[in-house]
Amino acid sequence: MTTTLPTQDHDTRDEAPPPGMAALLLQHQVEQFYYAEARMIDERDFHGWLDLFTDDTRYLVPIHRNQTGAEFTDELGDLGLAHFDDDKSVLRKRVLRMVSGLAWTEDPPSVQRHLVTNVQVRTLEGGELAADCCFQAHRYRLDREVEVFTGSRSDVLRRVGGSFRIAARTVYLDHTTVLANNLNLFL
Amino acid sequence: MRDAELSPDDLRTLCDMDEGVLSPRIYADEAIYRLELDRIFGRAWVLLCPEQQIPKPGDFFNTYVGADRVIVVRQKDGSIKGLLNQCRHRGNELARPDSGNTKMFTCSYHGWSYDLQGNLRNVPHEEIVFPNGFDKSAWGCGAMAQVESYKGLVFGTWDPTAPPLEDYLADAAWYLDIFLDRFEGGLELMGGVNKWVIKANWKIVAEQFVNDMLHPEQTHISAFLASVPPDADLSGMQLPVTGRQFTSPHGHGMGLWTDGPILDLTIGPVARRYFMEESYPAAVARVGRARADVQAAHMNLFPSCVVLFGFNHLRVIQAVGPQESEIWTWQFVPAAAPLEVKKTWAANVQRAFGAGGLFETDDSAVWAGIQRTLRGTMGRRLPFNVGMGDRTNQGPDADYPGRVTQRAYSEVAARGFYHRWLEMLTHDTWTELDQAAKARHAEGARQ
Repeated sequence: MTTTLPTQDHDTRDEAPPPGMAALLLQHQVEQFYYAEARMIDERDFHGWLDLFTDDTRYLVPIHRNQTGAEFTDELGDLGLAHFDDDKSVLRKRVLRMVSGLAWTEDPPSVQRHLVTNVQVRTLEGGELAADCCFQAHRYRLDREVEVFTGSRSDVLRRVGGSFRIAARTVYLDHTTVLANNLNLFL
Repeated sequence: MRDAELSPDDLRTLCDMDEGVLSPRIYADEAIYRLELDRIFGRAWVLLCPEQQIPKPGDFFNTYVGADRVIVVRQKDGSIKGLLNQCRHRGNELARPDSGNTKMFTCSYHGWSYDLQGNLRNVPHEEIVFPNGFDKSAWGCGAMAQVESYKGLVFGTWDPTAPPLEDYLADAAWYLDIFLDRFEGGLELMGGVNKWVIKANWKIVAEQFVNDMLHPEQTHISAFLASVPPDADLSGMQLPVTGRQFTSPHGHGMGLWTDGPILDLTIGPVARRYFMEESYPAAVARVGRARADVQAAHMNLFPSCVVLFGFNHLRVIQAVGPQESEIWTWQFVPAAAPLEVKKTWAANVQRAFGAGGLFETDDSAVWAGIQRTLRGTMGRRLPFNVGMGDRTNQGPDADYPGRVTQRAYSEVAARGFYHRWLEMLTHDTWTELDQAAKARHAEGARQ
């Protein structure tokens, strides 16, 4: 017996895919967005990277502590302290400095590889997405300076056009003591 | 014990501050580092933490003094002790978290427990394991000989013969008060400590804060350019020129600016207005005009306690190895300031001087860059120049006490730092150290 694929008798392009397929598609789109973002950083397209953030974004990297059991907290909140707590204007300053040609930390430029994995996505009320992932960023600088940054990220992604923009990002760096001369990189 | 390979005469050939020349070996040699741990970090008053880090009885904070781990712990009576983080039985560490609250420090190896004062209180199965009896009172954990607070900052020393903290801070206390006394209502600690590694000797970092107002226009040019508004007219902009450099005979030093655009470019206009306008009249009443006029300033209290004035920023440089340090920072805000001012001030300082700071990161590149040049033989042989600025004591200044220069750009404070460094390595008693400092600061003496 031969089976034939069902023929389409109408145009399905405007229809939502079946629920399972929609989740798969969304997962794929978010992962591709993150891969493209990582590539922008690694290829030093910092202005392109900046454009991935909404104008009302918040980029937060809290400070992690070694604490016992229930005492564990990440230092957050209005009077907390963070490695980074930036709005878009501050991110723009960081980008301008990076591309100035006068930022000695990045002259000559380091070589960076941002690896993104363990991506999980869910849709929030109102249509924005909550996207979590793990990352590892390698930075190779000059002749023998190799530094590795690991952690997780929690983003709020907003659908813009056919893609996404980052409306909020929190980077949970694993380090309590940053084992690098600086955090002069985008995560 | 002094290292047999490094006699006082040897050390004097490495550090000649009368001539302003310095051997690069002091930043790289293991033997010199071990000597520093013993004779500087084993004797000097070292910053442990701010009091606000450990507000309640039983609160502890795990820090370094030199390469030793020290638990700073608030006692039941509110006083503070510094305990060596090491069990007296087999040496395992007693406290592993960065900070916390506890009643006892119990070793995870055989369960010896110490109270908050460091007394050994419990040895499991004591009657069985010590059948002939055991005097627990003789086996308390190591404790710093003296711990004192100066206006909210906790310092400690291992040396029972070290002078009281106020005598040690001496003429630098008047300047330190610009940070600690300026604001009605005092200072509030924001969050906790922020730590990162610098692959450079601790003195490379310390001497910048004791001495170096000169580097920003070169090192930090990218941060300045990124911080000016896009439509700003840069033609009239210049770095501040009005300022002083201060050097203490005890090795402390600072540089201060009383003009210039630095605050707008760093802490931003909201915090700058609060600092130099809204809180200014009260500051004049509290500390006088000369100190209230200080906008941006850097300071290092010998050996390794750093203050950035105008930024309310405190740090300690942890000398964890001959070629590696850690920087630990605390951020304060005026407690009485409006919430918006506090938030913008602290966030902007962190953006400038945190691990990812627009300014800080280029310092890190320079510090690690110096250290990289010290791997070889020639790189440790050719002396470095520390000769900038007036060499003779110009006498008193109308506004600023102690030995000051009429410009912020000088290296007299670095020479003061290295003079003191050499004296601590070569002099055995605090009486000798005092005599050396007095001779150095006599009217007309060179430095």
